[in-house]
Amino acid sequence: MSVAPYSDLALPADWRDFIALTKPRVMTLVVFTGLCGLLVAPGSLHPVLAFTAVLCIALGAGAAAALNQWYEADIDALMKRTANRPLPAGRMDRQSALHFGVGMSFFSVILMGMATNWFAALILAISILFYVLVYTIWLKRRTAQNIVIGGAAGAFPPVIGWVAVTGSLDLMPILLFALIFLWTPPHFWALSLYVRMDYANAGVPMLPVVSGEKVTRQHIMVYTLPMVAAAILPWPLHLTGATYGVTAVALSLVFLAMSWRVLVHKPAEGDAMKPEKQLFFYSLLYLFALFGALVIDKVIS
Amino acid sequence: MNEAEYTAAVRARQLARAKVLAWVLGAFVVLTFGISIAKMGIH
Repeated sequence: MSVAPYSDLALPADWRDFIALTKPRVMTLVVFTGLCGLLVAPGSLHPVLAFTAVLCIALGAGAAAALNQWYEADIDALMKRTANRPLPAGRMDRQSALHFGVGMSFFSVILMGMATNWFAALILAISILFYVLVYTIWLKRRTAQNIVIGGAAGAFPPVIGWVAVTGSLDLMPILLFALIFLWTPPHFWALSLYVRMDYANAGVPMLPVVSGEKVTRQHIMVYTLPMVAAAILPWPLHLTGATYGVTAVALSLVFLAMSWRVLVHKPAEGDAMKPEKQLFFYSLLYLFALFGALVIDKVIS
Repeated sequence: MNEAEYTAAVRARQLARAKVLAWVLGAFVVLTFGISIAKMGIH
């Protein structure tokens, strides 16, 4: 019987790898939109409870990300962008990721319920389950519409923030949900246009892989229109003031222009895909700026 | 890596994780106390 050399034996995962498992960069946007939902909601929440609510949103998002990586370790290993994550890089065993994700899911939901209200906790639980079961396990490997439907998971945080304060739903959080839901496809399709080969090699049926670049560019434009409408709508409905309205119009016009550039872009072999990269990064800025404007508008009014 | 080096590396990882967990649990205790105080203020 041969014995493996000590250099081949796996060490226990480093604590930093558990942090990496939560996708901290993605979490930034989740936490920010959740915080903004909480801040623009009518009424007030004790600062400690508000902090706890945002913490629970962050922990829930981190748990969902950990479970996503637990399930997708095989395809993550095939993509340049994700190959260095703790599981595909072999720095952590899958069971640790599963236990970490499940434990943190329960912890975040229970803490949310105890600190704020159980309606907010229920929506948090639905968002985690939606991301893991509907997006990761059911849709991602099966259909090019994966991020259209799966995008709903990322749209929950402002709703959770709002409900944590008010205990009920209203038109405004539904519009914020719609905004992120409609923002997700153009955002991810812009990315998938320039990492298309990665997705193709991993067998993930993203739209550019399944239907080609031209169709994806058209879809980005088509989804940008209702997204812009959802972004501006709170203003004419008198749910926000002019500060948000003017900002939303200006930012959305730039988004439309950038989507148009992506639509008409005809890349040659080895093209740097500049318009697509610019749209991807602008879309991140767009959402941060819109939600920031929402809070500033509330403070001013 | 020989047996002694491997054991030392495992111990170092375990110690680092235990320290982080201790800090997290400590923070949770403080947070739970804060939540209790805030809830008592509300009711």
